[in-house]
Amino acid sequence: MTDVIRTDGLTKFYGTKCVVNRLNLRIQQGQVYGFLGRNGAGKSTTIKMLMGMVQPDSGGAELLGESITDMKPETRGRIAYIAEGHPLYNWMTVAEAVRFSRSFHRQWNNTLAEQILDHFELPRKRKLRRLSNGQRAQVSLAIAVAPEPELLILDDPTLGLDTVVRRDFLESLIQIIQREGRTILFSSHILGDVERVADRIGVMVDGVLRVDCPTDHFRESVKKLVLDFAGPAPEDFTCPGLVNSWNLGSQLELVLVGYDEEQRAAVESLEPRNIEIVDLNLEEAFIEYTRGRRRSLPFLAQETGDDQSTRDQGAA
Amino acid sequence: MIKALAIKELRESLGVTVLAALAMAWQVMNCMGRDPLQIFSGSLVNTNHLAFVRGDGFYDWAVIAIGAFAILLGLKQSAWELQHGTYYYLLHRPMSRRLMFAVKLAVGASLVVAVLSAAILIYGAWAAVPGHLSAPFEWSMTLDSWILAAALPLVYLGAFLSGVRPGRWFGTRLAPLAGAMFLVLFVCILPFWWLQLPVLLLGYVSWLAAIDYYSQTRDY
Repeated sequence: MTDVIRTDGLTKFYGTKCVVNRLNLRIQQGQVYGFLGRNGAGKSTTIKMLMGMVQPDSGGAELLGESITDMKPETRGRIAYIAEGHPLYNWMTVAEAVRFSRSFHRQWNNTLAEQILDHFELPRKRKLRRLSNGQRAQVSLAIAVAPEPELLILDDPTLGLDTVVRRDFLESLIQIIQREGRTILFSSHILGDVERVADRIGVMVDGVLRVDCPTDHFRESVKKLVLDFAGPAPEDFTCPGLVNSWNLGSQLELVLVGYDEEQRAAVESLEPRNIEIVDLNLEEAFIEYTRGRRRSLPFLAQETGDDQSTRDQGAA
Repeated sequence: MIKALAIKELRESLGVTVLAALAMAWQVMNCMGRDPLQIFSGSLVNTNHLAFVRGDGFYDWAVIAIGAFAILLGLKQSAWELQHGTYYYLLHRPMSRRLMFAVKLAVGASLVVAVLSAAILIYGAWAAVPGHLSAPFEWSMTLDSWILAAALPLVYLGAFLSGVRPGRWFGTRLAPLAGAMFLVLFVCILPFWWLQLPVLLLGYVSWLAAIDYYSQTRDY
C-alpha cells in the first residue's frame, strides 16, 4: 500500500510554544483516518501545514507523493480540503459557488455535485449567507467532492452542526468513502462521528501524536480498573502503561493502556479485595487517555506494515 | 480560472469602486461648474479657472478620494479574506498562488487607475470644448493628474501589503502603507517626469516583491 500522506519530523512553533512536535505520520491509500485531540492539541495546525497554509519550522510532508512545499496546482486539484467553519464567499449563491469552484478544475463531476445538492435540498439561487451552518457544510462537501479527489482532508467538518445534519453529512461521507481508493483524513471533537467513519485514529496530545492505531485497537487497549481494598487504598501506585489513577479512600481507580500480564501482576501485588475491569467506549477511552498526566502518557501504536510510521514521535 | 477569479475580485470590489466613482463624479461636476447639489436645475457656477491646475480642486480631491479608495480596496482584497478565513478556500484552488495574487493585484490596481483615468478623460474632454471654460486648455495640462494615476496604485499595493503581511501590532503592520504614501507624496513633488518614473518603478518593484514574499511564506 502506498502512503498518501507522509510526514517526517513535522514541527511548528508559535512563539516559543511547540504546537506540533516532530510528527511522523503515515496514512495509506484507502484509509479513513480520524485525527483526534483536545483543543490546542495541534490537529488544525497539522492539517494547515499539510495544505500549505502554515509553514513548518522543520521537517517535511508529502501528499500523494509530492512535497507540500512545492506542490503543483494539478496535484492540489486531486486533493479536497474543507477548512474548519466551511469558509466560502457569502455573497455568492449556491450555484455561483459551484460554478466558481468548477472553473478551477479540469475534472469536475457535475452530476455528483448536483446529486449532493439535490439530496440536501439546497436551493441553487439562495445566497450562502442565508444558509445555515449545516447547509454551508453541505455546499462545501458538494464542492469538495465534485472534482473526484483522491484524498479528502476535512478539518472538524461537523463542528457546529446539529445531530440530524451531522448524521446526514456523515452518511454522505460514508458513501463517498465507498468510492474506490479514496483516502480521508478528518479531525473531529465528536468521538461518535469518528467511531462511525474512521478505521484508524491518531490522537494528538500537546503537539505529539500519542496514538496511531486502528480505532477498535485503541478502544480495546484502554481499560479502567476499579480496585477494592479492605483498608485505605495504597498511594503512589505506578506501573508501565498507567495513564491515570484516583484514590477514593478504600477504592483505587486506574486507567491503563494495553492491559497485559505484567500490569495484572503489578495490580495484584497490591492485594486488593476485588478487581473490576471496565471496558470503555471510544469517547470514554479518549477522555481518560487525554486528560491524564500528559507528560507520562504511554505511546499507543500498531504498525500498519513494514514502515516506521508510528515510531520515533516527538518526546512529550 | 483567471477569468472566474478576476470576476470574483471585481464583484467584491464593486461597492467601494462605485463609491469612489461617485466621489470623482461629484468633483468633476463641480469642476465643470455644475453644482452637484443642484444638478437637476443645471445651474452653472464658477467656470473661471484653469483645468487640472492644482487649485481647481480636481487634483487635491483625486488625491484624497482615490487615495482612500486605494487604501480601502487594498485592505479589502487582502485582510478581509484573512479575517473571514476564505483564503483557506481560495488558496487551495488548483492554481498557482503567485498567479492568484497577481490576478488580485491586477484587478485592484486596474480599478484604481480606471476610476481616476475616467475622471481625467471626462473632465479633460469637457475642458477641451471651446467655450466651456473661460481659460485656455491643453491636454499637456493633465500630466500631473496622469502621474498621480500612475502613482496611486502604489498606495493600493501598500495597503494590500499591510493586509497580507503579518505584524505584531497595528502600527508596524501599517508600515508598508505609510511607506507607500510617503513615496507617492515624494514622487508628486519631484519636478520632472523623468525623475518621477524611476522612483515609481523602484517603488512598484519593491512593494510587489514584498507582496510576493509574504503571500508565499506567511501562515494563513
